[in-house]
Amino acid sequence: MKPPPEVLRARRVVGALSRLDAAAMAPELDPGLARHCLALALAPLTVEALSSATWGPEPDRLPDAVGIVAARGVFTACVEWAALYATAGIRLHLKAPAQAPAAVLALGAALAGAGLPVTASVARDLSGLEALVVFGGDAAGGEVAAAWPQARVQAFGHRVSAALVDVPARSDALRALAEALATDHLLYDTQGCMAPVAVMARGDADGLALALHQALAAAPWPRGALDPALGPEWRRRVGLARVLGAAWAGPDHAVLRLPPGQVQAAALPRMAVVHPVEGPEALGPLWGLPLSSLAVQAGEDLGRPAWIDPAVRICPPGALQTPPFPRRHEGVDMLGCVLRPQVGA
Amino acid sequence: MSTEALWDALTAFIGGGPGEFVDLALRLHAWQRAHNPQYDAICGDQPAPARWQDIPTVPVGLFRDLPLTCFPPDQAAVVFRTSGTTVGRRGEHRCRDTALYDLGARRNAAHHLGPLPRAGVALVPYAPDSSLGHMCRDLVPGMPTFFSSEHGVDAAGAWAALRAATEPLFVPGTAFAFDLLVSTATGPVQLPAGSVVMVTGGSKGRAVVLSEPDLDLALRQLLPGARIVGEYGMTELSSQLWAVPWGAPYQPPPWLRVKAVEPATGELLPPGQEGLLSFVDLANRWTVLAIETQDLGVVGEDGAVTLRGRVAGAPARGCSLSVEEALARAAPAGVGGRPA
Repeated sequence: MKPPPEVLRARRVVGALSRLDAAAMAPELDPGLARHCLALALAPLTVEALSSATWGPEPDRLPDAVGIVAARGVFTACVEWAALYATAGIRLHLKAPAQAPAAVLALGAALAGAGLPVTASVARDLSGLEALVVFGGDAAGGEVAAAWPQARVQAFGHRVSAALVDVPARSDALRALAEALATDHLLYDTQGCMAPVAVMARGDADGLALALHQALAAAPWPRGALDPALGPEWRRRVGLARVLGAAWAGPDHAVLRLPPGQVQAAALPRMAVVHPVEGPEALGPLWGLPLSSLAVQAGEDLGRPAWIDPAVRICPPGALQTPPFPRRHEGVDMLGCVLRPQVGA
Repeated sequence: MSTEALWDALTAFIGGGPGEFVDLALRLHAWQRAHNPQYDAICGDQPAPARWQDIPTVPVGLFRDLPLTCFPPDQAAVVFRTSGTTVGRRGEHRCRDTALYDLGARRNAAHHLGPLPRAGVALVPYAPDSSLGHMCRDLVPGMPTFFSSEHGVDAAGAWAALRAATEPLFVPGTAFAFDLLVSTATGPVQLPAGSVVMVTGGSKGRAVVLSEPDLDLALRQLLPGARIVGEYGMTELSSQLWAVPWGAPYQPPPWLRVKAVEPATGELLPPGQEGLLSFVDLANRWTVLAIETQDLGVVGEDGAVTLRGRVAGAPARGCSLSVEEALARAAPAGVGGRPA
C-alpha cells in the first residue's frame, strides 16, 4: 500500500535535512559544536514525528503558502518550522536575515533540492503568502503585519530563558546539575531565546558557580570568536560581579555570582550568571523578563510558583536548548498558527 | 606620597608645572585602589602595574551601575550624568570638586585655541548635570545657550544672536545641534574675526542629515570668519581632546594618554592599529583614572587619536543624543524651526 502523502513528504524532508552542513550554516560556532547542535535539533524530526504532527486539520484549512521570517541568531531556529510546513504540503518561503543568511538559504536549498516547494531569499518581498511566522525583535511582527496586510501574522518577539535550582548538597548531584547547566550555556554559545540569562540558585551558590565553572572549562568545543561588540559588555559584567559578587573566568567562558536584582536581560556567549536566592520572594527580577523557558530542579515552593505564565516551557536543566517537537511554542501551536480560521469560528 | 602631596603634584602638573605622567599615573592608580573599594575589587589580584598601559581600566558602562568613587558617594558636590538615551540608566560621574577638571579644561583650551572669545552662543545643554555644559560655562562665563533638553535647539534665537555679534564668539555645540542649525540657515553670517566654532559629540550614527565632512563644509560656508574645531570629551572623563581644525587628529593634553585595545579581549594594540579607545586621565582623581570607552579609533605614534565611530552594536549614547531626544519629545510642535 502506498504511504500517505505526508509520510512521503516527511521522508523527503528528513532526507534533505540530513544533508545540511552545520559548519557552513553556523560559521560563528566551532564546527564541532555546530554539528552537535544540528544533530540535537534534527533528532526529534523523524518521519513519524513530522507526519503525525501534520494530522488533524481539515485540508481546506491548510494555507497555500506560508512565509517564515527568520532572525539572526540560533542557526537551527526555523528548521523544525520549515520541516513541519513542508511535510504538511504547504508551499513555503524562507526570508533569511540579511546579516547572516547562510543557514536559512542552505535550509531552503536543501528542501527545494528534495523536490519540495520551498524558496529562500534575503529579499523583503513577502507578497503572495497567506500566513507569516515572524521571528525577531518585538517590533518586527508589527512591521511585517503592516507591510503585508494580506497575510495572517504570528510573531515571536524577544524572549529569554532561565534556570531555577536548589543546589544539591551531594557532590555527585552538584556535578550533574552543573554539567546540565553547562550544556544549556554551551549549546549555540548561549545564543537565542532558549539560552539562560540567569541561574537562580537556592543553597550553596558559590559551590554551584565553581562547579559550573569547571564544567564549562571542560567543554569539548571551544567558543566561537567573541563578537567585538560584546567585549565591552563582557568586561562590564565581569567588573560588576567582582564588585557585587564574584567572578570565575576561563579563556572563553565566565561564571558570575550577582545579586538577584542584577539579572541581565540578554545572555553573553558562555557567560553563566548565578543569582543566590533564599526563596521565591527573591525571584521578582526574573518575572520581569519575557520568559521563553525555565529549567527547573527545585522544590515546589521555588520551582512551581503559581504565577509562572503557563506559556513558559518548563524543563529540566540541560534541556533548555532542546525543546520537544511538536509543541506549543510560547503557548502557540506550531501548525495551528498558520491554519485558516475555522468556518463559523 | 600623602594624599595632599599627590593632589599638589597633580595640580602642578596639570597646571603646567613639573611632573612626569607615568609616575603620577601609577601613584594615582595606587591611591585610587586604596581609596576606591569598587575599583580595587575590579582590579582583583592584578599586581601593581609598571607601565601606564597596564593600569586596569574600567568599562565606561559600569558607571551606570556603580558610583566608583574614592569617597562616600553621597558626599559628591557635583554629579555629571550621561544622556543615557538607549539603555535607560544614566552613567554618573561623581566629584567632590571640579578644581582639576576646570584647571585642565581651561589650560587645554587655551593651548589649542589661544585666548578664548569673551562672548559666545552655545548649543549645548546647561543642565547642572551636564559636564559639557559645565565646561562651556566655565570657559566663557555668561554665554547664553540656545539648547534645552525640554525644547531642543532654538535655531531662530541662535541665528539672531550670531547675526548680532559685534565681538568674537565662542560657539560650542554638538554635531547634532549644528546639523539642526545648518538646516534652518537662510544665508551666511559673517562672524567677527577670532570666533571659534567647537563641534563635539558626533552624530553617533543617528538621524543627522549631514555627514561630518559635509557639516564641516556647511559651517565654513555659513559662518565665515570662524575657526571650526573639534572637541572630544566624555561624562566619565575630566579632560578633553581637541582637533584643530576639525577633521585633524584629536590631541590629548599632557596629563591624558590614550591606548587602543582589541575590542573583544581588551588586549593592548600597537600604535596605528584601530581598536577600542582607553584613556588614562590624571584629572579623573575622584573616580577612576583609567576608562575603557565604546569608541573606536586609531592612536598614532604621537598619541593623537583619529576617531572611527562606535563599536558595532554598542548602545548609542552621548551628548548629541540628548538633542535628538529633545527633538523626539518636541516633535509634535516642531523643533528648531524644522517642520514637525
